[in-house]
Amino acid sequence: MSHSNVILLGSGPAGYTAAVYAARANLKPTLITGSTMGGQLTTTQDVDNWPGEGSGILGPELMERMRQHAENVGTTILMDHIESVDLGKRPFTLKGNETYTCDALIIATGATALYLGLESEGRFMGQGVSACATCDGFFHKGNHVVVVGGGNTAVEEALYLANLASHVTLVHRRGKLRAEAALQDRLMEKVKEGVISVRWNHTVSEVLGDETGVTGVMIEDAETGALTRLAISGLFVAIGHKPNTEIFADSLKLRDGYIIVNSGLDGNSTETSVPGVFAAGDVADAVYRQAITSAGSGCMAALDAEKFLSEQESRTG
Amino acid sequence: MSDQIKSITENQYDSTLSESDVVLVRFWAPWCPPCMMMQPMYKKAAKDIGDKALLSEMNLDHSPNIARKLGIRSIPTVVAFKNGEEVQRHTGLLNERGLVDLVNSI
Repeated sequence: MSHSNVILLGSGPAGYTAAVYAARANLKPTLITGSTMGGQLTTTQDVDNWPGEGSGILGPELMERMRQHAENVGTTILMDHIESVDLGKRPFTLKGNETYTCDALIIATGATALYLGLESEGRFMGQGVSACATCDGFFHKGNHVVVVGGGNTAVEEALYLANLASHVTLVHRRGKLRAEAALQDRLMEKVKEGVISVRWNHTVSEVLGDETGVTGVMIEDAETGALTRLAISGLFVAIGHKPNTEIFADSLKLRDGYIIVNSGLDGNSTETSVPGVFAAGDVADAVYRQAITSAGSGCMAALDAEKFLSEQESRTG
Repeated sequence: MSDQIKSITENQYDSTLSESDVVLVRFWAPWCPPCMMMQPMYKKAAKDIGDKALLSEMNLDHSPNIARKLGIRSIPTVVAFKNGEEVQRHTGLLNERGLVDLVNSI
């Protein structure tokens, strides 16, 4: 069992930024990475909206630089995945492969990609159904693939796959994309070139395949109910994320799975329903969910935790 | 065996499967972030697993054909072989404990 002043859970922009601030405040923080070291950005090809990186930066590279920064200023980084917590009394106890205790906890466990929830989708998971174009695009060189979704991730994945696949069909349940304008422009270029086509107002109703994996999908027109069969080798699902808060459901106040934090004008805005427990990044943000907003709230959480610990010390010391 | 991961190419595949009763082959590539994350976990698991299995890995950039032959469409994928026959397959990141459990279940 090891004890830290402050433990940070998560290794995305929120976790690493909190680590940089906490380490520089001499709190000697421990950061526990979780099973997806580097977080969602590690499966993002280009990050084009990180201020100061006008020509873009690769997601994994940005995360590696954040990790190094956090480590260089004195963060202990441990690779473990926490499976249960006891936030009922201080010090808080966290259990993964090892057991850890801490006086203050910053939760930055982020969010995980959502799947469609079709039975046939589950059957072909890893056999042509994927949520990571950078990982699995390789297996679809020269083939037709489908991307489902209408946000930034969906458009980014479609653009990435357009370089590998013979054709990419983007299936979106609405008549309009949520992705940012710059990405939509790039998408429309590819549509003009004939590499990508968009099926507006369509949903995927079934994944088809055989023992070799995915061979097609059935898509449904949301207005008419008409079904179309597309012959494809891969289905890339990019329909959004759900916050990673299962292990906190019994101890913290949540709304729709997101951790409720104080917010407001009085400081301490990242504190959760348990004093000494703070949340930052996508785990407490259902709206903005950007690398930069996560980093910003990670900084706030570290400052809030620092204040909390110094108040505790002056009370007991 | 040892706590070392054996890096293999397509040519070494058949002979590797007969090197031990239980052999794990991890299919990976440097452009696959979860594969890179899994690398240290795989190494650590090799220590825990010790003599119970041989842990090997194949880089798809150099050896793409075995993965295709096995019908792998997503990485990281770990395939477990017993006496040269596939007995288990796991696609997606598998941590140290998951790897140890996988070997123990064979």
